[in-house]
Amino acid sequence: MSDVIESGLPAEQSSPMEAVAFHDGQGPARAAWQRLRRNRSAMLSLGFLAVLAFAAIAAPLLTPFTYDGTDFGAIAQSPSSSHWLGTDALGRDVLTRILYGARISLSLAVVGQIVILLIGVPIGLISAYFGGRFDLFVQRGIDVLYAFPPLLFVIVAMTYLRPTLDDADSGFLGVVASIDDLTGGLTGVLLAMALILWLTVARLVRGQVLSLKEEEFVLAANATGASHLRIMRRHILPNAFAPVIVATTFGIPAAIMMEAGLSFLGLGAQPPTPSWGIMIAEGVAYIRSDPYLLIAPGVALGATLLAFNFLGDGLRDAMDPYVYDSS
Amino acid sequence: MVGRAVSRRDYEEPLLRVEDLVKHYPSSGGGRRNSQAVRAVDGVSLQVETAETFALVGESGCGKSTLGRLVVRLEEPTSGTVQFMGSDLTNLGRRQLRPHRRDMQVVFQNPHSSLNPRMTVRQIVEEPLVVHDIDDRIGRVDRLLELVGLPPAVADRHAHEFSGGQRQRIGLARALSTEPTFLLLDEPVSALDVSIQAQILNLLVELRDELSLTYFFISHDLGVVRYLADRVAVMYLGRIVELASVFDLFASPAHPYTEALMSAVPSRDPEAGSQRIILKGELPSAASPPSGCRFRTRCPMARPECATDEPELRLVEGDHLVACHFAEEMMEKHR
Repeated sequence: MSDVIESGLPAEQSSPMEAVAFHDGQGPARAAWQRLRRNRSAMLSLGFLAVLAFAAIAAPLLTPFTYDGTDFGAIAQSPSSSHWLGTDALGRDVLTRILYGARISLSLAVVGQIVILLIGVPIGLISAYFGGRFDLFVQRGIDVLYAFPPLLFVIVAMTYLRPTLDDADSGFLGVVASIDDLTGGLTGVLLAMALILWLTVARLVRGQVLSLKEEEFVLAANATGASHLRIMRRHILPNAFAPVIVATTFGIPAAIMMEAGLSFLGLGAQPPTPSWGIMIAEGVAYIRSDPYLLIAPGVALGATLLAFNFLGDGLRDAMDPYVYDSS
Repeated sequence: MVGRAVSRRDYEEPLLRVEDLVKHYPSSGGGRRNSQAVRAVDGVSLQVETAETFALVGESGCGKSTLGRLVVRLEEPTSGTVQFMGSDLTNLGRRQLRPHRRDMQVVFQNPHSSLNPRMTVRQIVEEPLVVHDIDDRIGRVDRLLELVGLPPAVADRHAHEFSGGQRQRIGLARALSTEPTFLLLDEPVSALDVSIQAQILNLLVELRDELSLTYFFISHDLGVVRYLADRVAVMYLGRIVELASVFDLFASPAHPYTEALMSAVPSRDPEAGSQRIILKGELPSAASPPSGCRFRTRCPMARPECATDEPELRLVEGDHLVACHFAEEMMEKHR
């Protein structure tokens, strides 16, 4: 059989090639990275976030204090050489608490986004790819959930979840409750947020898949006899991912903000967990005498949100398909 | 070869037999009750012999692409049958179709959207081999690229780095990778520049002769069809109106629609007086085709009986099939 292929064609056949349009052999991902590298604000943000992530991970090594260690000999001190950002009303080192707070904000945001992707991507993908009644059902469900303002939904969910978890001591809920305790009340927040925030991802993925599945390269894969799984994995998902990555990058600051808001309201992380939201809430009481108790966590929160937003903007520009597919 | 659905000559002629194929799309929107389905393909029968090039021509929206996709089962027919290499494909499921897909591959119209932008050329050309569990992939990909006139060095680049003609060659290499007998070519050159069209057409001819391929060639360009095809079917509004060998069709078109299409092709001889037949009006909606003969609303020779009697596709001479009441008159005119 293969002799047919081997025999090849007359030599002149391989010469007539129209204007050769090769440029550096690189994939779309590499090209996007190179464009991102030229974006100064995105790279500065990435640097800031890397430093923040490192400081959060290495927090125990960087400061001699613990986040809940009180020192009643040093209450509400102004910034000094031993306490760079001063101490709060219980004599806890503010810088230490901000570093540990970064752990919470970053890990919650990242884990939260992963959970959201794990729920939203498969639902959006399957719903759009197979269509039909399942799609209709899922879409109406999403529409209903979408009608709630997300923060309100999470607040309602948390007011139900918090006492449920506090009372639970056996079975599945008991397990969740003990994890929740270990994480300072954050698992509950994560659950409540994931429950509402996957909608956006599912919708985004659905829209992408609906247009991608009509593309000729998907038809071509069908024509070769590729399985549904293969088509979804190799042809649809990789091409649907750029906007999902961008949306996830923007989803992280939204999640951080929501966590801070919930903690501020007392529905999120439970004291003494050093969430930035709790610190801001505590700082409000001392706004006249010790404003840095409010300003320090506020600046940390603001800078982190800003960095994620700049990074998201940069990623969106770098991954714009219209930029690269111009040949 | 392991996994072949049918050994190459284990079936009776023809290679492809399509019978009374119908594809209706439910018309959506409007919300009106009794809204008519769009009859994209409305009762088409045809046969394609081994190693011939069968061309399907017609204007945009006449259903020729839909017919092509029905033939390779990329669309589910509403009714009718498709027999390929002796097997009835009509009621086969996705998995049962897979072994048959090895023998029938597709080259698409748009070289910019028919190649996955996230894959390298090697991954694209190799994919059918992976799907069909064919070994010796690396050597095969290089040979395939050479076969379509691309240097093996291109294998590790991405499709977006190539021009339209090169991409179409890559698409062709992908289609040829499983050594099919049958290729559906869905307007493979109409998205390309004219100079590049010629190169791709030449390549198609050489590959056909080299590998004794059967082509099902969809086009709206009669010049291209005349160059490439053995037999031609002319499609109008979901039906075949004329089917003949390329020589007979061009020498004596027996359907007024075919004649009008041909008059639209620019003549090579500027001195020859061109008698362009301008068709009136638009292509009628496929949701509510005209009564009787579908072409009558735009036909220069329409008569009262055309509105009531629908002309059947009938044999007028040799193997020349026409669906017109006045086919004989038409042919007389060309003598």
